Amino acid sequence: MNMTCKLIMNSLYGRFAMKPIFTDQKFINKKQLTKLIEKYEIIELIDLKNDDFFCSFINPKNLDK
Amino acid sequence: MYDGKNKYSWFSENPEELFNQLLQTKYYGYSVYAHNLSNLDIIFIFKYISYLRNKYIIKPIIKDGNIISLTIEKCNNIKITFKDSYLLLKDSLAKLTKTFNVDTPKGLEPILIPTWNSTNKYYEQANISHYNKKVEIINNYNEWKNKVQKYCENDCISLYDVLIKFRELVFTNWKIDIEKYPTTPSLAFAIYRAHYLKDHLIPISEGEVFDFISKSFTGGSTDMFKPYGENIRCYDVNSLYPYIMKTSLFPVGIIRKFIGDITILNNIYWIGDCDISTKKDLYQPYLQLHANIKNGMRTISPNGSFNMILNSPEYFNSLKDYNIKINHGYFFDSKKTYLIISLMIYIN
Repeated sequence: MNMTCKLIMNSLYGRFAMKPIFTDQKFINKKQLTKLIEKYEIIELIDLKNDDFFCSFINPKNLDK
Repeated sequence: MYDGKNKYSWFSENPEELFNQLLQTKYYGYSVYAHNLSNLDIIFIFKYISYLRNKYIIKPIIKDGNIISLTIEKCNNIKITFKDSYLLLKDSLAKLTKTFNVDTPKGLEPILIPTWNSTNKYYEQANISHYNKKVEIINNYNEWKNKVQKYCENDCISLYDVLIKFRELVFTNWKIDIEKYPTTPSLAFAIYRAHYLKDHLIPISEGEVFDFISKSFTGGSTDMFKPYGENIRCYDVNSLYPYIMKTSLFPVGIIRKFIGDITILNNIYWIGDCDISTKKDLYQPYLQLHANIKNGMRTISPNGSFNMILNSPEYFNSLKDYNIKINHGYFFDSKKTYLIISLMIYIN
C-alpha cells in the first residue's frame, strides 16, 4: 500500500502541465510513405525491410486540438 | 502467455503462434500486459505486427519512445490491446513479486553455456558477466529449453498475479479500474480528479493566457557534485514534492490581468513579463530562458540585461542578484490550495 501511494503521489507531479501528443504512427509500405512525406512532417522512420516501414509523423489535425 | 486460467508458451523464432492464440474472438476487448513492452518484447514482435496490418487495423499510441498502447482489431469480433505494465509499475518484476507478496515469485533465468559437444550454438552465451542478477547455469540444451519455457510461463503468471493484486488495491481504495489508465501519472491524475479535486480550483488556460504562461516554462537548473568529505553528517531529503504541494502558494482559481508593479499586493501568485538585469556578473546565473540559436531552441542562463516571463516565487528568490522591473502579466486567486493535501492525509 505504501509503495502504491508513493508511486501515485510522485506521479501526479507534472500532470498539471502536460505536453500534448502531436504525433501519429502508422505501418506503411514504400508507396504510402512517399505520399506521407509529401503531406506531413516525418519525425521517425523505422525500416522493417521487405518494403515495410513504421513511421511517426506530425499530424496538423492534432495541433488544432 | 497466461490468461488467468491457462498458460501457453512456444519455443520458436516467430511470434505467429502467439498471435494466433491471442487474436481469437474469446479474447475480444482484452488487455495484454507485457513488462517492459516498449524496450524489450516489442522488438521481437514489431515486424510481425507490420505483417498483420493487411488483415487487421493497428492503432499504436506512442509517446517519448514508450509504447503506451497498441490495439489490434478486426471487424467487431477481434480486439486486443497491448500495454506496458512497466509504465504502470516502474520496478523490476522480481521486486514487484516481493512487494505484492504473490504466490508465484519470479524464478531464476536459465542460461545455456557452451560445452565441448554442444549442438545448439545459437542459444548459447559464453559470457554471462553482463547479468547483474542471479542466473541458473545449464549446459544441456534440452534441459535448458524445458526450463526456459517454464521460466517464461512463470514470469507471465507472476506478472498476472501482481497486476491482479494492484488492480484490487486501487479498486478497493479509489474505485478506479487500472485497465483504463496505461501509465502511473494518468492513474494518479484519475484518482486525484475522482476523489480530491475541488470545484473551481484548477483553471483551464488556453489561447493568449496559455501562450504567455508557457513561455515561463523551462527545465530546472541542475548541479553535479563529486561527493567527498571527512567527519561529516549526511542528510537525505525526501518527499520535497509533497512538501511543496502542501505549503506553497499555487496559481489556481480565476485568472486576472495586471499592468505595472504587482508586488504592492501581498501574498499573490503571479506570472509576469519582466525586464531583468544582473547586479554583477554572476558565476552561476540561475534565471533561465529559452533562446533560438543556430541549432534550434536552447535553455540558457545569461548574465546582462534581458526580458523574460517570471513567476512570483522566482521573482522574490532572485531579487538579491537581479534588478527586476515588472511590466504586465496575470495573477491568480493564489491560495495555499492544499492541492494534494487530502490525498496526503489519506495516506498518512
